[in-house]
Amino acid sequence: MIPSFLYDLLALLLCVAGILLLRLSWRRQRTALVWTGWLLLALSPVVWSVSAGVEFAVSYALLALSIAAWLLIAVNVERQPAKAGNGAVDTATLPATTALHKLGTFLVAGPLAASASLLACALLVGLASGAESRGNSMVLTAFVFPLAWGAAVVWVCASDRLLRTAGLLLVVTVVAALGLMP
Amino acid sequence: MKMSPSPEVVKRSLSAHSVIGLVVGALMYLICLTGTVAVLAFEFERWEQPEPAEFMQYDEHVLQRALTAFLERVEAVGETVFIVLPTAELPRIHVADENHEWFVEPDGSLGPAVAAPWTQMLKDLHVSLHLPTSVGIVIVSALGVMLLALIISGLLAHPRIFKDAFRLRTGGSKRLEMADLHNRLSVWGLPFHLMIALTGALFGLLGPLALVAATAYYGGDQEALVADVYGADLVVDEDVQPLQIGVALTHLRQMAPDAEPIFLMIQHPGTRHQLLEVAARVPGRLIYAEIYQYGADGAYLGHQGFSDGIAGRQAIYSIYRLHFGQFGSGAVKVLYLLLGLALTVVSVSGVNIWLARRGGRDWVNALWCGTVWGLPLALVAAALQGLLVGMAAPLIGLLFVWLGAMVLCLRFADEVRSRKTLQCACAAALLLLLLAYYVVHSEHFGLPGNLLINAGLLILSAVFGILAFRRITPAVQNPLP
Repeated sequence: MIPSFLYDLLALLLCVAGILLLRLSWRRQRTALVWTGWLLLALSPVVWSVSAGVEFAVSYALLALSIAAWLLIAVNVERQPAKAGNGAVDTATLPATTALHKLGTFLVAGPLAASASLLACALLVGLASGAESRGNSMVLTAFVFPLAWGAAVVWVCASDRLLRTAGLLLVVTVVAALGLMP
Repeated sequence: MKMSPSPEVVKRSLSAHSVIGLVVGALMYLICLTGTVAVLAFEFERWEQPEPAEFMQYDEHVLQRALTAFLERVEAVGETVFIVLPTAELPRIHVADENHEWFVEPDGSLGPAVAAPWTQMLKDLHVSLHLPTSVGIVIVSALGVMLLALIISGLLAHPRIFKDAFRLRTGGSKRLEMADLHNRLSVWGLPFHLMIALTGALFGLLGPLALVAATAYYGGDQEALVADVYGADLVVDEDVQPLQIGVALTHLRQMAPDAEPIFLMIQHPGTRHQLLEVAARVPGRLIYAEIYQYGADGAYLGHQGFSDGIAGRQAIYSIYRLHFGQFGSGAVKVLYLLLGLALTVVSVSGVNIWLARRGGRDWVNALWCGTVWGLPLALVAAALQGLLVGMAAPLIGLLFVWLGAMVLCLRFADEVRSRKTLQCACAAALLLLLLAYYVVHSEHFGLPGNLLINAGLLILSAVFGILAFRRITPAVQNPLP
């Protein structure tokens, strides 16, 4: 019987080798290396699952992937000659908006986007399931809700037409609320 | 087929990324740093209160005696009494209800009260910003959503993020250096950052979602919704009799020999509805525990189904250990520390990029410098306060030092000087903390767990010292926090 730490070691090596191949193929047209790199990375959790189970294996592989890549980056740092700044404060690094617009953006991206996402997701619970599988739908929706709100925040903050965005979110909120009424 | 977003989308996403990052920057930094340190919460609990007896081996009589002693000592016992069993991370037994908590001696008698206020403050800061929990946890979860928004906008705003995946340029312009660091840490840490953001957001947002869904689908009955997701509570009604903890644990060992019991819950102790629940870790599973239910006589009644119930139940019960890195070996904790630190650096470097982009210096630079370098100092100062003058209100000490650091930076109006001063102060405070710990807990200083923490503090002190005394090349302009 093979000791479990050998599986751990092999999985770790596969992960490191995968990243190494990706680094070697980086900025070069070497498709075979890229695919081999990704294949090794995909194999890493498979090997890890033998000793640690699938859930731990996927977590270990993703953690190891990040650290291995950072280590490779760290040993390949490019040192450049220092450049001077001009010393002046550039106040135009963010969109120039009024305080009212900033407050409006905060309210639309915060409470309004949250309400729209929350109610829309709650509506999905009912649409996606019957009473017998509502537990699963609830959990799925719980995972979707933060993502939906996050996407809405990006949309609001990227938009230059705050009123239109607010209006659309308000429509979603009202429609979802009506849909949820008994 | 070209998949990259249009220049207009990139521009708008970058603008959104900057706006969100700046609005939540300081709070995100606080959450990330406290979360990183909280990975070692168990170790800090042991370090902070080293006196209680530590042992892994116990028999059922010890638990029975501890429960009896607890029920005798507490006049109004809560609905649930917990007996937390020793684990490799925390090899101590303690018994508690909602308002009381004592360690258990090896003979089953009650030991000292559980008191690790600095660690508790750290956890409270991370989980709820030390606000009332119901409000704070929602705010922190909203920050998890903002982290998701930053990830989404960051990916859209950086079409070259994979093209430059292995590139880190240092020594040139500060903005480029910070941007490279920010992007490299972000792109390769993406799975971890996504997981942390999503699981963090879930903790506080489940409540509002459950409230709305219960109103819409369960006629306002939240318990029915909870039963659908987590499984229904078992209700027993039998004559009152002494709990047979030993019978239950023996049965569990036979039925699930791989399961590791981590705590017992005695529901409605001393009543007709008395129920014993044994929470046990299942090897290879991320679920917090499976709950095995027993009657007062030790008869097996069933299990909650966290390990084999509906998929949603298993998934939702897995987020805690995943978020806090409480699985696998100690190596996982080290990786979580590194990845958490990287996320902290990402949150700081994001603001630094904006500062470098706007160029020059004003009060914003000084305030940010105080925020970034004042917080580690404030955390150490709060721990020091606990050791030297007792742990009445560690948060007051923390806020006092953190605000003081900001005021100092504003007064200096020189980020290099401010940063070096705060780094130096942090290095000195860490040494002082070690010295104080040795004086107060000299007999526990060398215990294996404590030695590891103490060695870590010493190394951290050296790191801060090196940061404070390293030479800054004169050509570097616009020094950043």
